[in-house]
Amino acid sequence: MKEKTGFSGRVQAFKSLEPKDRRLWYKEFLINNSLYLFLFAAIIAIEIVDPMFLSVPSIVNIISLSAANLPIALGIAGCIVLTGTDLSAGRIVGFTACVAASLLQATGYANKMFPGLATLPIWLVFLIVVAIGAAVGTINGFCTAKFHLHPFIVTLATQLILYGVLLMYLMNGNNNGQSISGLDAGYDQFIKGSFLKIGKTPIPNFVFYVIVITFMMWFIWNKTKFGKNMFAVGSNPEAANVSGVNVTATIILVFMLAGIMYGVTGFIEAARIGSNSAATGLNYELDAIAACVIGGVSFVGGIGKIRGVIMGVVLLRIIFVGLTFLSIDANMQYVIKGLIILIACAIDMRKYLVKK
Amino acid sequence: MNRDTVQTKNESGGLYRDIRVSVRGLNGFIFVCLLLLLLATVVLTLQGGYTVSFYTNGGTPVDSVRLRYGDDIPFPPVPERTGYRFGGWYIDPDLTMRWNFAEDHVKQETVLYAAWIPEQK
Repeated sequence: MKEKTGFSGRVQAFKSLEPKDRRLWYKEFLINNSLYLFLFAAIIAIEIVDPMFLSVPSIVNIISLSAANLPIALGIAGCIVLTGTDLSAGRIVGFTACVAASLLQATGYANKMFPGLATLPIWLVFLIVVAIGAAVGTINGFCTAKFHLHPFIVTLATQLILYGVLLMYLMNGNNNGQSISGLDAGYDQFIKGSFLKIGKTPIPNFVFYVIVITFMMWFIWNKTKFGKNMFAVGSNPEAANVSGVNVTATIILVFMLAGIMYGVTGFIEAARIGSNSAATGLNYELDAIAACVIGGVSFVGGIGKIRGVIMGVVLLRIIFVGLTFLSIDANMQYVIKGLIILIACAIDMRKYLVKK
Repeated sequence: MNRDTVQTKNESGGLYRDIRVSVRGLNGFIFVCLLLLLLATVVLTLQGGYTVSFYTNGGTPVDSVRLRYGDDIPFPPVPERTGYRFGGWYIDPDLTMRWNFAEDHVKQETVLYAAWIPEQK
C-alpha cells in the first residue's frame, strides 16, 4: 500500500496510532514546538499588557524590520544547510552599505565623499554592490571548498580583513572616517518611500523588493538542480560526490549566493538607516543565524525550508519589539536573545538524536 | 520532484556528529532553559523601565525620572540660570527638535536638553 506523504498522510498516520503511541506523539509535539508555544504565549501576554503592541503602525514596523533582516538570513541559511556558517555576513552588509551610500550621496551635500561625482543611476550602484558581495562570497566558498578549511575560520578571516578594508575606504576622498549620510533623495525614496498605505501607515518600498527576492530564493532552493545539490551536499558530501554532484562548485556557489544576498541587504540598509559608518552591520549575522535556527534550518545539515527562515526572522523581530514594549533595558535583551538561541539549538539537537 | 525524499535521515550528522548526550538529559535542559527564559522575562520586565534625564547646561539641576515604554513625560520643574530665561526642552544637544510633552511618548533611554534665552537688561 503506497504511503501518502504530506499533511494528509501525517493525519492518516496519526489516526492509526494506538493510545500509548498517541501520548508519545503529543509529548514529542510539545517538546519540539515548546519554543514556538512559549513565544506565542509571550506575544499574547505583551498584547494584553500593552494593546498598542499589535496596532497597525506597530505591525507595519515589525514587517519593515523583518524585511530588512530577511535577505541576510536567507543567505546564511544556505551556509547552514551546508553544515557551515558565515561570520563575515555582517561586515559584508556594512561594507556594501557604506559603498552604496558613498556613491549615492546628494549632489549638494557638504561632506560628500567624492565631491566631483555626479549622481549615479541607482541600478548601477546596485550591481556594483551586489558584485562586491558576490566576490567576497566566492572567496569564502573557494577557501572552504578547495582547502577544506572550516567555514568558521575562513569567514572569520574574511570578516576581519573586510573590516580593515572598510576603515580604509571611509578615509577616502572628502570623508576622513566620518559617517556617510546626506543620501540622494531619489535613492531614499526608492527604498524608504511608499506607494501603498494601510490606514494611515505607509509601507516602505523595500518590503516589496524583499518579497520578490524571497520568492527568487524559494525558486532557487526548491525548483533548480543547484538547490537539490545544495541539500545533497549538506546532507552527506561523500554520497553526493559519488552520485555525480560537483561538491566544490556547489559550495562555492552557495557562498557566492549568500554574498549576493548580503550585498542586497547592504544596499537596502544604507538608505534605511541613513547614516553609515564602520559600525554598520556589526553582529548582524548573529541575529540571522538565530533566526535560521529558530526557523528549523538544522545544524545537522541538508535540512531547511524558506518558510522556516521567514518565520524565524519575523518571530525574532516580534519578540525584540515586544521586549521594548515591556520596557526591558536594551542591554538585558541580549540575555533573553541568548536563552532563545540556546533553547532552539537544544531542540534542534534533540530532533537529530531522537531519530538516530 | 518529491522534496520529502531529499531530506531524509542524515548519516553524517553535521555539527552533531560526535555528540553523546541522552535525550532525557536534553529534555531536562530544554525545560530548565524555558524556565530561566520565563524568569528572566518577568524579572527584567518588573525592574525594567527607561530613565529620562534632564541636562540643564548650567542651570539648576533637575532630577531624572524612571518611566515605562509609551508613557508621557510629566513636565519637570523649570530650572533657573542667572542671566537667562528658560527656553524649553529639546531632544538633541544642538537644540533643533523640541520635545512635545502632549504628544511624544517615551520609547527608549532619553536625555532632554534645556534651551536658554539670554535676558535683555
